[in-house]
Amino acid sequence: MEAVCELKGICKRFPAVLANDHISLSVNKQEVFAIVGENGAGKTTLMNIIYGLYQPDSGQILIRGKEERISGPSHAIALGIGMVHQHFMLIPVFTVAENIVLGIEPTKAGGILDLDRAKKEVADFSKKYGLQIDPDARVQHISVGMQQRVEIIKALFRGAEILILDEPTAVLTPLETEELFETIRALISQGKTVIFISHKLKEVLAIADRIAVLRGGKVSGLVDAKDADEALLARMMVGRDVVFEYTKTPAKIGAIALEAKNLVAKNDRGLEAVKNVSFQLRQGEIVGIAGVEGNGQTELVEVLTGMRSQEKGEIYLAGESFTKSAVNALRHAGMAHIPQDRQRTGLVLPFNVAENLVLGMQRQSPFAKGHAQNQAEIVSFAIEKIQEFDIRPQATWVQAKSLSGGNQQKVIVAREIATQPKVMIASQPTRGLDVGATEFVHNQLLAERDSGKAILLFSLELDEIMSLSDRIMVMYGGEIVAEFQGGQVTREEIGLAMLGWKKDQALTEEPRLNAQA
Amino acid sequence: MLKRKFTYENLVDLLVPLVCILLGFIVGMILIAVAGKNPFGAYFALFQGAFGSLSNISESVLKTAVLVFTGLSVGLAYRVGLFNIGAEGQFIIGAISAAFIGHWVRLPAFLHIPLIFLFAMITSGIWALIAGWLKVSRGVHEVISTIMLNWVAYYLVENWLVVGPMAVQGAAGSTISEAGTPMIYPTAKLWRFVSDVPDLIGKIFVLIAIALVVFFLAYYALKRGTKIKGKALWFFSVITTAVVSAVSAVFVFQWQSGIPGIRMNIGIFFALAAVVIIYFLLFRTVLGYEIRAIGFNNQAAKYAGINVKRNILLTMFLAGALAGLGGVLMVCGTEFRFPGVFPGGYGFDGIAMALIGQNSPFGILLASVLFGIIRGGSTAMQLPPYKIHKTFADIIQGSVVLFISAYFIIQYILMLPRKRREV
Repeated sequence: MEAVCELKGICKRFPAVLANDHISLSVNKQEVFAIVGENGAGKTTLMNIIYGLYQPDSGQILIRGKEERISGPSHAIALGIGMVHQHFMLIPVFTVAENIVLGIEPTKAGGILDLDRAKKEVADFSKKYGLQIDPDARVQHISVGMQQRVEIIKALFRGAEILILDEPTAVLTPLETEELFETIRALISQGKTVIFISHKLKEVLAIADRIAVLRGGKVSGLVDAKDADEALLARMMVGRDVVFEYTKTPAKIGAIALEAKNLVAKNDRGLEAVKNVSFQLRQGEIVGIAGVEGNGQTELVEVLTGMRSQEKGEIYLAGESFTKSAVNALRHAGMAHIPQDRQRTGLVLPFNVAENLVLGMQRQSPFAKGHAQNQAEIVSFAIEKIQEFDIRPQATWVQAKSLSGGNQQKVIVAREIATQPKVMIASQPTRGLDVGATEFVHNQLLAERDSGKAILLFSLELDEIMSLSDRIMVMYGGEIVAEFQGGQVTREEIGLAMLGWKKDQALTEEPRLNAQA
Repeated sequence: MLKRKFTYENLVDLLVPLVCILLGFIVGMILIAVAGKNPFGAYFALFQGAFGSLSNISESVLKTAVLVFTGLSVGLAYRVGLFNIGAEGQFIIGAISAAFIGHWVRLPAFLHIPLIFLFAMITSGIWALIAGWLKVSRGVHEVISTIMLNWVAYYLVENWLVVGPMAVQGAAGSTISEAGTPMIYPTAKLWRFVSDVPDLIGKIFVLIAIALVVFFLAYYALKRGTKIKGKALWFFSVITTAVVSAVSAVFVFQWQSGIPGIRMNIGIFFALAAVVIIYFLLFRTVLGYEIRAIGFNNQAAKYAGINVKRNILLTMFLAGALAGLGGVLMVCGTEFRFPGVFPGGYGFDGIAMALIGQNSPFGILLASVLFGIIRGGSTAMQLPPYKIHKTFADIIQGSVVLFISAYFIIQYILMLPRKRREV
């Protein structure tokens, strides 16, 4: 086995934290080497060191056996290291070919851009690696999975032999993830090496050859994927056993808490995204709504919480009609909402933690006395919640934007539970969270259910839906196409429904994928 | 709980505007030197012009007071996420409203001045509300609508009302300096507390004002600084107020003559009060919380059930009212009418004050004090031996705004010493 990239005793200290603590790893040629760890375990710092964005305080980096001091990304690229960031660095209005050649554009005599040659080179290149792509398509018009493929080609086009993928599946649908894995396997067979960073254990086990686990800046384990399982990796990541199967008490179903009748709503482009949706949600149960992204879940959440106007239909909260009600009226009537995008919707990032913890309750006693804010009450409430939910850092005055994703989510969950709701609408409540934080959010939702709250859980993660829900509904093309009892259904049955199969449909028919741009 | 720490980042946030101001002065210096004049002498003349005599200080204070109002107008609107370029138009509307009530309504002073304030706030508030309404109902960008409303206000007032229906009778057509609206009644004039000695009723009003201010200061100082509570707190506050008022009374009733020609007036106290009120509005009330939430993250505000449209309308009204009050100070404090040649531009300067003051009420106050001084002092620079044109003050202001626009670059440079240690 030939080591293409070797790290020896890498240390990197930031003002308050030792991000990398004597990390030694060796990546072999033609393998998928996965690095897993919780948020803040030092994965990204380590990759930024390899890519030359940071300089290590001590330690050596050996590329193909030769010690290198990587001074910056351009140096890393020259050494054959490519990186695909979690957030893509593409220009939306440029075409695929233009994005790929950006910075190394082929030119005609006199420095004139030769776009035809660029297009041809990109087309040849994608054919060589078997990565189908349309060089003329504008990046803003292609799917997220395709954009990622463009990023990968961009790195390969610059001569990358070692490809670093930072959380590549975070933005992908399950199907796109499968395609990405195909791409990775193809690259390996062509002699490339892939370093795969993730905290999704199932995916890591599916694609990696070897897995390194980081915890608190140190390597806490290095295993062959074939010898590992989720429980082992999770234990190495968190430092204790992690529960994947929740022991649920039988649901104590109560009265109808939320009822939707024939809801119809349009999306931002004016197309009908929610078509005739009806359901009932009862106290003491969690109803999971599964589905591939873009099948109307976002719009349905927004209609139910009053953030989007509905075309038709009725909404009842605890028996009272709340059709076409404002967000405020619904909140007052006992509707809590954990939004899918915590940074864009759930928090005011420049506000501090205390201010964010009363968002939505700012006019309620005791946080307001008439028109004046009661700062003392707001701060003491924040201190209480910070301790109860273990929000870190333990400070009320820290801006929400400087919190980690998990702690941001804890602020939202703490706040929404504190409203003592009748109905909780949780939309992808664990998106982008690590194992520990996910477990925490799940336990909070189950505790709410056991205390008699009605919970409607929207998620793209099938495992999350299956392990928490008492009932499961599947959304496809804006409709609820199937309903199952929790615990009495297999992944495959739900998976088929997610692709638009009706229960009574003949199994010989081809599943029609919900194409989304 | 972690104690709040004053970090290097906080220091940089405070330093950036100061560095920008310093750079603005350096640019001014270079330009004076390029023009073949002595930059150090010019700056000396500038500060002598601002502080050299009571009358110079008075002129600086006058300008500061107006800048505070237009600056707060732009700053407040920015907090809800709107860029109010229309402070100039709202300022003109406020000024003409003051000239109207000042001349066409007769009332005793204690009713006349409040009526002017109220009327001007409503008219200029409504003027700003047009832009706010276009924004929330039709999605018209406020930068476009407020710029256009500036010109509507300008032509409506200066090219029609002031030369037409509201023009002073008789003098019209003689000289340009006599054109404008008629003089306002003395009851509408803001008290020039250095040059004009009040009559007996006025002196009593002054004492009441002193007593109120002393009481509030004493109350808060005792509440914050000591452990006195409840009835004892009231008791000690009243005692302090009584003692200070009694001593002041001796001086106030002996007050015989003022220093003529000092134009400084009580407008500056209204400006200071506005700074405090806007600060409390933004950071101590639910409304201010909602305004800031909308400005930072419209989507999250909507999610929290905040009525975004209503708050935008309300904030825009308040912003217009603030700019309008600047116009009131101009008419009731300095000009005593809407003159034919109106000293405009304060509304646009308000944008600069808000930018330099980082939209914080006290930051805007500091920026206004500085530029009030520069504007007051620039008159002195025109005189021999320096003979530097007074637009020089605009050059400094413009350069500072330019550097503020490069906020992130300056922030980056100031963070460099910290960055280097990290590597």
